[in-house]
Amino acid sequence: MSTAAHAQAGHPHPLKTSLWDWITTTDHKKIGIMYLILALFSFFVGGLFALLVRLQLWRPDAGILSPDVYNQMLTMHATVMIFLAVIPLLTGFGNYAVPLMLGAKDMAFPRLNNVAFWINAAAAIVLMSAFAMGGSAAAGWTSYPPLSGGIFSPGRGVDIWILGIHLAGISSILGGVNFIVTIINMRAPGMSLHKMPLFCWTWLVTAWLQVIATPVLAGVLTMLLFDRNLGTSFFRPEAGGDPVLWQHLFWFYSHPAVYIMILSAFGIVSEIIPIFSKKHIFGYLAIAYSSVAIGILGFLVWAHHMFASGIDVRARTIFSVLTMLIAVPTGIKIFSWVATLWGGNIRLTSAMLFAVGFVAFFLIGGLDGIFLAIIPVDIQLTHTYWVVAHIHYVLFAGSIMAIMAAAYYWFPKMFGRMLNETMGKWHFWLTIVSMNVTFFPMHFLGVQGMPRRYYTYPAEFAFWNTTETIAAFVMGFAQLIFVYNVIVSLRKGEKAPDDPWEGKTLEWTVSSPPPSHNFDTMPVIK
Amino acid sequence: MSTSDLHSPDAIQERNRRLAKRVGLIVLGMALFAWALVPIYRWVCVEFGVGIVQQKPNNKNLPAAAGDREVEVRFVGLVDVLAPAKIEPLKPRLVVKVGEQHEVMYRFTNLSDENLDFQAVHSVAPSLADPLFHKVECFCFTTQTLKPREVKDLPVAFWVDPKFPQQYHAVTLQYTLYNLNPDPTLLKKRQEENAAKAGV
Repeated sequence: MSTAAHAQAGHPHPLKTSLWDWITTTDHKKIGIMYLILALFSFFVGGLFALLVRLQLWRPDAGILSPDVYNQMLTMHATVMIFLAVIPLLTGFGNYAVPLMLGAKDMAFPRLNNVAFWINAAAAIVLMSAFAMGGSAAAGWTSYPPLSGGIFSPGRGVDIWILGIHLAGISSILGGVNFIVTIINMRAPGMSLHKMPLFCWTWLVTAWLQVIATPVLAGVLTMLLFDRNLGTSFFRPEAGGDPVLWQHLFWFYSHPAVYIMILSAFGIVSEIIPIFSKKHIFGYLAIAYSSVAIGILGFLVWAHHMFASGIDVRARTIFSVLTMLIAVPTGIKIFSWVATLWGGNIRLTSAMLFAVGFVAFFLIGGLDGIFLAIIPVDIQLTHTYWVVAHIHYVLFAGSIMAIMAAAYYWFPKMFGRMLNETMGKWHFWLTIVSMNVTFFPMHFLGVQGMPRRYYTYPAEFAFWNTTETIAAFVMGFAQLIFVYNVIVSLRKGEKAPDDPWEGKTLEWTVSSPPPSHNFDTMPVIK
Repeated sequence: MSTSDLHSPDAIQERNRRLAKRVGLIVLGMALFAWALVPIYRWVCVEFGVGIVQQKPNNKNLPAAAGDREVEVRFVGLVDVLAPAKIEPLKPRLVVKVGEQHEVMYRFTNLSDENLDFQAVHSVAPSLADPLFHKVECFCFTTQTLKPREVKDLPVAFWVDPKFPQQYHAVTLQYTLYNLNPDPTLLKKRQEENAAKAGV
């Protein structure tokens, strides 16, 4: 039933409700939209921090920011992008689409879902409040002791940061429990695991990563808080502690966190590519189980972040081999997407452009990561701009491109209006060019030995840094096109039919936007 | 139970609660595991001789019982191009018993007419031997200063761990001397040369 038909049938517009109704809603679709709004706002705040960092680096000794403010911007750019933008953006799409795709009327625990969202909002407020309390954390998002300890990071910045990340972690765990129970128990009759959409598969693995890894982050953050405030010595070498222990525990969470930020992006791309190639996905089971393999391997590779930390050579060798193994399930996915595209009747809509852009450029993030898995190469490249290039090819060319693809794909379903395709294509082409000009030369700088996180650099690195700064501003501008497109399309966009893309999953069988109870009758899968 | 019973709201709610409790137990277990990792980590470090915990001062950094095995230690000194100085070991090599503490001297010469602040940075070859080559005292631990044209001898006290791999008979200890306040003109020249090499 279309929106108009709904209105005629006496149903109120499902999204036009009071503010109080939005705040207290238990409707997974509204909670999903609230996640997306908050996370999109955070994405721009994090982007602003990045542009300030780039402004400082536009030439040697630019002196635009003070060194301390520069360190704060650097730390908060990563913190905001990881904990308040990328993870919540993917959670927003997961919240919106997973129950619909499963044929469920909501998440398993709707009230818990609302609580998880507001805890995430509280995390955002707490993390930002540091700026009003004498400055934020400035020890980098990895917050390695002794830099993040009381001696080198006095003040409240790191303590507030710990509290904020704790809240984001609690939200993530609650969300993870809800996704697991929803996906395992709430599937429509007849929808076996092997008939479940791949986006739900990847969310199932992501949710397991969240509930298994995040409690370890909570533990390690509490230890740091105790070291800073209660005189314990988990990580303080002067009192018998070991800073390398932080690195082990931190990366035990944070490496799986990388997969928390990419697996459901794989799911998004696995939904979009077959729709716009007019084909079934190639290697459905291979994609599903390679996601599980990535999830498991993700717990066994954390020490590849520590090859230069003086850990044992035997341990380094084992972690190096396990890290390279991850290329196998990831390669299976890329092969399957390319095989789906092969011979397909391809429609290059904005959603498809972003999905294909993801496949092409996430691949660079995968390949430059393999260099880092090789111990002697990593010893040379670690803590250089090569690593900055790698993480941005994974999280921007990877996660953000998939998120943008999802935005163009599901926007008509969410709001009953189409996004403007011309603006979408401008958004895509400007993003893809500026993204590569920003991040690709970081490989050159890394090979030449430019260390990451430094406030300034010698003149020999100036050309690429200036180029990157200009491109970063173009990239920021391109994202504003998207926001303008959303605002204009919400008011004046072409009305979206129930199924504008000839989709195959269940969300396309209901009206755009769907009614609050999702399905008038429970769908049955044959 | 029929399919409709399985999908009744009550049945779903009951299954959801049961599963959520199980997942909740996993969350709790992982939270406890994080704290348990602290003693586990220390145990692994001590048992397998990895990590940094084993190198706590006043504990294992002191020589262990001396063994009969002998290892040849070779000494090398290099100077970065920006430092107007010389560094040379007073003895080029020494044969030592594992676990036995020894001291050798390095001679530093300031070739300029100005004060020279420098840092000596060590490297051990083969690198596998690095954690088993223990320096008790070293001029490399702090920055040093030489007056104009000054010649100074500075000590390194060390011992080789009895766990030093059997397949190695020798270890090379090398120091590179870096000028902490290099001449800005020379530094600029070097940066330009590097930039030219990098093709920028």
